[in-house]
Amino acid sequence: MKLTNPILSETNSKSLSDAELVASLKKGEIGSADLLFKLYAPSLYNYIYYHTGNHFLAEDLCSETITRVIEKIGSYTQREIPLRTWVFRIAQNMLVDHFRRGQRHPAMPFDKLDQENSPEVDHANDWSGTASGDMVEQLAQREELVRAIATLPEEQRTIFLLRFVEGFDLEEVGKLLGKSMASIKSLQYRAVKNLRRELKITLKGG
Amino acid sequence: MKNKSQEFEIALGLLEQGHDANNITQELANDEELLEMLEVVKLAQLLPRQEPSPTRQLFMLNQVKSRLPDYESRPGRSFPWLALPELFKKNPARAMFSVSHPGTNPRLRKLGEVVMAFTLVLVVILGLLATTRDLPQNIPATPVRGVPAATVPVFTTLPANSAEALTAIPVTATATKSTTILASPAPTSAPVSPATTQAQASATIQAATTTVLQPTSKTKPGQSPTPIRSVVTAPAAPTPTAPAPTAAAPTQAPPATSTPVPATTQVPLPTPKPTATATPQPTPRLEPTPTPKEKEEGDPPKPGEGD
Repeated sequence: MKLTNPILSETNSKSLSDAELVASLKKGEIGSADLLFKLYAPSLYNYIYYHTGNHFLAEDLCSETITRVIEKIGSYTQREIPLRTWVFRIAQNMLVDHFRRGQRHPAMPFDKLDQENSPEVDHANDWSGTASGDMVEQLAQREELVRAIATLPEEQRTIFLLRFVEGFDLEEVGKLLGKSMASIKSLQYRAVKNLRRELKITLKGG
Repeated sequence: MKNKSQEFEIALGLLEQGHDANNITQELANDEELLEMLEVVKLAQLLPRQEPSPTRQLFMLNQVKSRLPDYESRPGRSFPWLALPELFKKNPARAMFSVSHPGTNPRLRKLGEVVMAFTLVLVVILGLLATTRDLPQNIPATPVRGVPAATVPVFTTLPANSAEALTAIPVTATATKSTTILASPAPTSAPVSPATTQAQASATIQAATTTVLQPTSKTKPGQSPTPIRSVVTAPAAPTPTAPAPTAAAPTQAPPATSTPVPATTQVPLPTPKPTATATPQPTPRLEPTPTPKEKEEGDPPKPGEGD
């Protein structure tokens, strides 16, 4: 079987709505898996990477999540939850499973990552219009933030990443995690407060 | 705490609408902590997107398709171990990670299960083979019921009609069977009449020979037990000269026999009972033994002797 590369070609990326994509996946049409991958794999990868700090693990869990989505698409009803939220819920369940297994295989911390062994990663180029001094300072702050995120408790880290990195709103995060709005707000506040304290310590100490 | 949380929610809402963090904090009581928290949120929103390169994405997509059952069969889907060399060839670092973290890769997890099952079956088969091989080794080459293999040559090499056998056979018989019976009359009563000793000796010899004759009939089918029985009843003659035949027999037997056959007959007598009978043989040694026993048993302990 010769695989097409839908990622490199920009056709049909956003032309299908979520409903059409779900219908296509349920019918098992050729190319629907490619489209689902193209739509959701990058954000899933980003979320899982910041959760685990490991590129290889992010790759594995991301492709496993997409596989699980395609396998379970028959039980999905769009009225209850948006497709994106459902996909991230599956990813979150995969992560929870991973962290349970992680008692045996502890996750690699960010500072121990070997950049030479990590796969090629495209970083979004958002440095335009930034002075070089600000750029260095901001880069250091980002690195500190990534390390501080890794120190958060799992629940707070999940909510922080979903809310401020992936851009889910409070209601979506509540649906995704099956929690009330009040608990999401509380956890979010605690996460940001802990991060502020952690960053203050590290930046002052550095 | 609640006020802070509510203020933070309001500030977040304003931030999402595009307001500047400094303006928001000025509106919200100019709180420095709130400002720093908003800065954290802003910083998080500016984190670089981590996305795999197009080649890595293609690899991941292939991985997804290989896991899906509806796609055409690819190497490694039905037989997961076939995908491992391909994986190593494409990206050794990633393959090593997958091997070291087998739980994250379902194909390798399957491979691990297969290897475990195969090893288990192999161990069971090897265990069964080992037990079946050991069984015939435990069975002796010439099975003799009731008699140890070492005593068998005594009767096979024994000349039935020779006079040396008269001394040789009681030695073997009394040494194995009647040592305890003969040991008691020797130390206690030294002046025993020859008639009683003869009767006792013959009785013990008969008892011993009757027990010993059973194996001969089984080991040597061609040789009848009757000549040995007649030989055993004959030693009535040496009884007057032997007050303790069991003790004297081991020492007297070798010179009496001219042929080397009786010497070989005495060799397979490793039982510890002859040594027990040999010790009470000297009569003067047995006499002083009762006196200290009587002293020890008869005298009650004095109250002052405890120390």
